[in-house]
Amino acid sequence: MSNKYGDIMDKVEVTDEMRTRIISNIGSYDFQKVEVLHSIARKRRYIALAACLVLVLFAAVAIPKFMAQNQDVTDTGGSGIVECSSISELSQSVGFTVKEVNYVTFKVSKTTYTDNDGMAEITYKGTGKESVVYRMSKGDEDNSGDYSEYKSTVKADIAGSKVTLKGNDGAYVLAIWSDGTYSYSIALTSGANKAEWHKIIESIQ
Amino acid sequence: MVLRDFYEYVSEFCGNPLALYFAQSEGRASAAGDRDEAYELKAEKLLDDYGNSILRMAYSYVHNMSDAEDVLQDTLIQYLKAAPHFENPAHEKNWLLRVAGNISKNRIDYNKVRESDELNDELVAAGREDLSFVWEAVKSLPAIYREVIHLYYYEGYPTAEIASILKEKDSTVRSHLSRGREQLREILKEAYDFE
Repeated sequence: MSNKYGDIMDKVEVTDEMRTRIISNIGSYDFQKVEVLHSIARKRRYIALAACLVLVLFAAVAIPKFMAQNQDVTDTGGSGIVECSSISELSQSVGFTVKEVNYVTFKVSKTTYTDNDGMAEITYKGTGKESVVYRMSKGDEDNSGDYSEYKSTVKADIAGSKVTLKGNDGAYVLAIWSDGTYSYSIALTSGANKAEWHKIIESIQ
Repeated sequence: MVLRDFYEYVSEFCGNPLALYFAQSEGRASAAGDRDEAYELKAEKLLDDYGNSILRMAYSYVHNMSDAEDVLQDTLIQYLKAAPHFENPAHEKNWLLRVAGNISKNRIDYNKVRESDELNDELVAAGREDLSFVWEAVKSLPAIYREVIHLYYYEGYPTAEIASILKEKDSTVRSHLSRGREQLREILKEAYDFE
């Protein structure tokens, strides 16, 4: 065993204050609500089973016809999380051509390509703590996964899209937009002004 | 064995046996209070038995105490909601570490983790720059290597058991372990002691 790593981890301990907080929070947690939901779920088991059977029968009849009309429907993207070695491998994995960010505000030391259950995610890391997480997925929903409250939210026309920029005090850390077919989001560890965001988003191709 | 069979029987037909026991004991009003107490008692026991392990596992992912504490609490709540049954304490611990890992990864994915790192602050304040150096090196690894390093070197699990906890193939775990060690060796050089 690594002695140093062991020494480090031994310092992480549940303190008395932490213990009191956790027990108190668990004491006030509404488990009953969860149990009621479970109970309803159990009663609905047979209804759900019947619904599944109907769905299977429907699928058995409808899907072959639908497939014959539109071969592209078979392309449903990936499932689970798959790490890819390149942009082309990522495009192949998610089932659509993934565009790449070609400008960021720091020197990129590592790029990671991930098929996050059909959503393309590219992480650009700098030599320090700075990083950019860029996501592209089918549809027009916000795919950023960032639901923080920010002081500033502005709309900007960038590269032909209405981009929503979110941040604090003029330093925007999140951009979200859609071109109608795909949703995009970019999250920065440290904020950038509008001019920098223009450069970042316009570099996508 | 008989008790276990009974537990499984009740689980199958009635759901959470802990909740059922209290729902049928002394009427619903008093049962609610008893039930809350039972959850707290079980949470106390879990904290005694596995609290530090879960917290350390969480810290190895999120790198700050507030988030690690949240992960620990959410893990215990998941346990109490699911009321899972285990053949032995080792399986119970594996389940808890797996859930803690998944909750931690979700927080990282959704950028919910905070920037502070109390552990590193403590190491620096204590003049343990050697340990701070090792910790920063481990932190710099991708999460998929870090989790394997933690379970292998700190918890002492063999790779097959790590694979079971992380729901990965044994070969994947061994490969992550090997790459993680390789990166640590490059960063730490003479300070490397992950053998």
